Amino acid sequence: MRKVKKAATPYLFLAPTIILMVVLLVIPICMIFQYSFLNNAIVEKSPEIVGFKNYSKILGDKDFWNAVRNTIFFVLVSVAAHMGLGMGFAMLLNSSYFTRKTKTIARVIYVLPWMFTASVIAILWKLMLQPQGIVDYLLAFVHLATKDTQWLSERSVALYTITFVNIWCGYPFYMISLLAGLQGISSDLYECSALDGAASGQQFLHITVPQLKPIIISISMLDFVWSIQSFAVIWMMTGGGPAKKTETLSIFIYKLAFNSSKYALASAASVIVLIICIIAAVFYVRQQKKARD
Amino acid sequence: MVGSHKKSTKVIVSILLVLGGLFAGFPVLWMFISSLKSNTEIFAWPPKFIDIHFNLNNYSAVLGDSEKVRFFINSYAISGLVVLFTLFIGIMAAYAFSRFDFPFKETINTVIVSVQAIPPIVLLIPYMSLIVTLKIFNTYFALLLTYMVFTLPYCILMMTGYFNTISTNLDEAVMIDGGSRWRACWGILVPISIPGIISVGMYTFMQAWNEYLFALTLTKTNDMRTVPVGINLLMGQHTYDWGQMMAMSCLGSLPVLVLFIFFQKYFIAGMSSGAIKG
Amino acid sequence: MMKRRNVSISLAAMAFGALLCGVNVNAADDAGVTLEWQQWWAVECPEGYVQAICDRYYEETGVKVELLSAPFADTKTAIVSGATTGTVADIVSVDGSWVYDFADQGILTNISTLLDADGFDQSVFMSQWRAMDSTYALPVINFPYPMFVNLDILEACGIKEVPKTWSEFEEACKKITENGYYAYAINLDSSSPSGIQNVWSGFAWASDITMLNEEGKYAIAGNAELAEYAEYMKNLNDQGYIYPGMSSLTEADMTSKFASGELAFIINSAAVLTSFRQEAPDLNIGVCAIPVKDGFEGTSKNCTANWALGITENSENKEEALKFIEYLFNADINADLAVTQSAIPGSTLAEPDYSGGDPVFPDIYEMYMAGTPYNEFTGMKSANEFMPEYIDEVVTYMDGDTDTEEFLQNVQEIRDELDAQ
Repeated sequence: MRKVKKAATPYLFLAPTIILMVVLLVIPICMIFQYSFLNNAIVEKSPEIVGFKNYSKILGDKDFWNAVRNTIFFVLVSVAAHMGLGMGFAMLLNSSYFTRKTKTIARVIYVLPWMFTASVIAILWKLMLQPQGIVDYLLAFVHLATKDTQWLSERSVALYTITFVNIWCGYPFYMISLLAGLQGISSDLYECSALDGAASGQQFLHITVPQLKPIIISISMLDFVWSIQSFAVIWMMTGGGPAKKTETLSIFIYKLAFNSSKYALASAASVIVLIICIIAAVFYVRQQKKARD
Repeated sequence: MVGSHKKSTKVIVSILLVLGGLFAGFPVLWMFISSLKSNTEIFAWPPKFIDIHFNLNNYSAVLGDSEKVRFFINSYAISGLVVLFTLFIGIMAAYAFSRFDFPFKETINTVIVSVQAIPPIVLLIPYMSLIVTLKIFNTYFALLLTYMVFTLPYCILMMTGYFNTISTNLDEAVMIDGGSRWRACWGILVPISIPGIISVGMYTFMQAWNEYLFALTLTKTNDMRTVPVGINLLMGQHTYDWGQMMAMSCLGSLPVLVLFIFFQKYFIAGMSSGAIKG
Repeated sequence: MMKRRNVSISLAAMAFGALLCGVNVNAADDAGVTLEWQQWWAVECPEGYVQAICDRYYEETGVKVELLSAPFADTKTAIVSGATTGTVADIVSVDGSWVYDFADQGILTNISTLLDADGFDQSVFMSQWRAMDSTYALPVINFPYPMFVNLDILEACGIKEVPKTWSEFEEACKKITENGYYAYAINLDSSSPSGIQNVWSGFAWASDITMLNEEGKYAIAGNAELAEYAEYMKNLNDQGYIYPGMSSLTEADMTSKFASGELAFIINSAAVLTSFRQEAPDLNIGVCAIPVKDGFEGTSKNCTANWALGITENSENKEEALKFIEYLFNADINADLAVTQSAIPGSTLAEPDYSGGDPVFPDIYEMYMAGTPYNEFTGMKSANEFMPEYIDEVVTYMDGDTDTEEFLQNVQEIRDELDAQ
């Protein structure tokens, strides 16, 4: 009896989570899987099963691959920059160069981008980046731009711009998580290494990073998934334009679902995205398992 | 961090601090300034930083509208509840992942992490059908459950990580004394992980508070709606009420900022090295 | 001990919170019929105006009309998701470009059938939106889209008269740009693609340059007039007369820029007059007819958009819904709504008195009446898929990556593909 109870304990702890996820997430996802095999869903009164036709249509669509390219750039650069900025800020906030008061104020300021909803961030940056906006005004002083520089409509620049905005609004997440982790690294470790003659750079590489590794990997994984999904900010800034230069997978799917009402195709594309993320998640979980052992 | 405190390093680091502050804070400052201007002034050229025409019209318009105030109340109520429930359920799940090995552990973990990858826009309609079938459409409950589903993966992931850094010796100490797993989890691990819990809680709050799509779709009447929906309602067919949008946004973030400032001391407190590294 | 108490308190708080959640403040408990109306009109009208109409209706008939709102940009999404889950309102405000697809998807109910059963005098409706040979929506009021002019800028640049032809317009743009202002703007934002309809196509329609030919087929590729128009616009853009950042310019950006006094000409709905007067009371606004091609003698096709209503298939009170819609076509209600919003009534009975309205509106009205109302996108099949694609092609063309022939050919192909589905 005791042994059964012992074996059942983890499941009991997990029960609420599993119930919630299964009912509210797994079921709709199964519905989406189902839709992806029909000729159309939701708006079609009597759908027929068409097998993998939707998938081959999606994989053969050049707009899909355009979206994939844009998404790869967007996600990789965002995750890397988030990590860099987050780590940098976290270390600044954790350093002993500043007084407690300075660090408190800095902490509050650094966390600000996080506090606002996507629509507002998009609208705000759009206001700032418009021709004759404040960004052009300030950059004109240092001759880096003219008053008419288009940050969001110029085809060569648009993707960089939205990636920049995404970096701006996403780094606090890393910063906070890493800061919590940094606080937990025992200062003994640093003292010992300093006594052994280690420079700050070496300390960083050999103490800080390894200690934070589990956290770094966790949040990178999450950020990867979230960045792929990022929709509102991009949609409200450029709508996928100019000429699909900022169309990421999430926007591509949105247009399929709501502009073209092709839910079956949208479902197929979503399933493809889901599979990519599942593969990444499998790697992640394996990694965590190895680290634990 | 212990190291040499050379003056030149201090100067460089200070400059970085200031630059970082500008990078993070300037757009927010601009938002605040814009909330004090009228709509046409926001679009004026050259852009004005200080203006004698600054006024609080936008703020009084937002605060004077009972419907908009209701949006704030809804947002805070829902976000607060989401934090409580998510932390409760998430910590339990994280404990399971951290302390046990059991069949299907990897599978469940993978599923939890990867299901958030489904683009919300596609999830929207099947999900909405489900909510309607469960008869909780247009209630707090619908949003509460929805947001929990979105925030649980993060909570579980992070808490598992934090728990993994705590030695199992502490658990064993509790159980040797005759305590249960439950006691070990809530009595020992949680208090030690407070900084981690606070950061997860903050993030959960932000995520619930800032969510727009489901808040719009799962509610029908304005008395159930939240601040992001309220802000988007200010976007009309031909014109937007820019000033009011900025004002509403500033007002909405204010209490969150205050909460953050209040909880900051838990970050500073740090964790005792012994219990962590063990 | 302390820990256990904290946990208990938290649990209690959550239980209480959970109880609260179940309480739906809006529990409906009505004896009579309640109609739900999904719209965005109330936000655009003066405070409480639309609610007052509903209240009057309740007094007269005992039928309650509940207003549901959603941001305009998301109303289509709200209607579609509501329709598929059975939660959609009884009456929905619809935009012209949604009608065909909604009818096709079975979201809107066939109003022709209802009207026949109802016996209502159909001559009251100035026009009906039809798809597949039946009516699916009824336009309540119609908005002309004139060209708004900033008269102060024109004066400052020494332009004596508003331009009437393409070459005069180009001349004016040149002078305006030389003086440091912006001449004209085209909003080609993809997320809310109204610009391709009202501004890009609207300018062309004024010179009777349309995508549809006499047989009602889309003749875009090889259309000499359309090519001429495209080249004219590209020329204006190359010279720098058009406000930069077209592809991320939303309608709201454009109107705000005009209101701030930096932009000389924009094409927009007459309805923005109210907000212009509010936001920029000192702005010297004039209106003019959209410049026509040099030598054009015919009747202009004036871009029009409408506020129209449809009844959803899901509705359990279709007849009641129709009665409410018919109520909005009452002479006095329709006329008052039209005057308040600077629009043209959709009811043949209404005789609006614009003397109390905006001083500029009589000019708009005159220009509108001198031409024919027109909008190729109303009732167009798969309009919402076509418009963003069309925008992408215009943007590519304006950037110089395709020549005029290619541009038109591409648009034709997009259109043909959508028609074939």
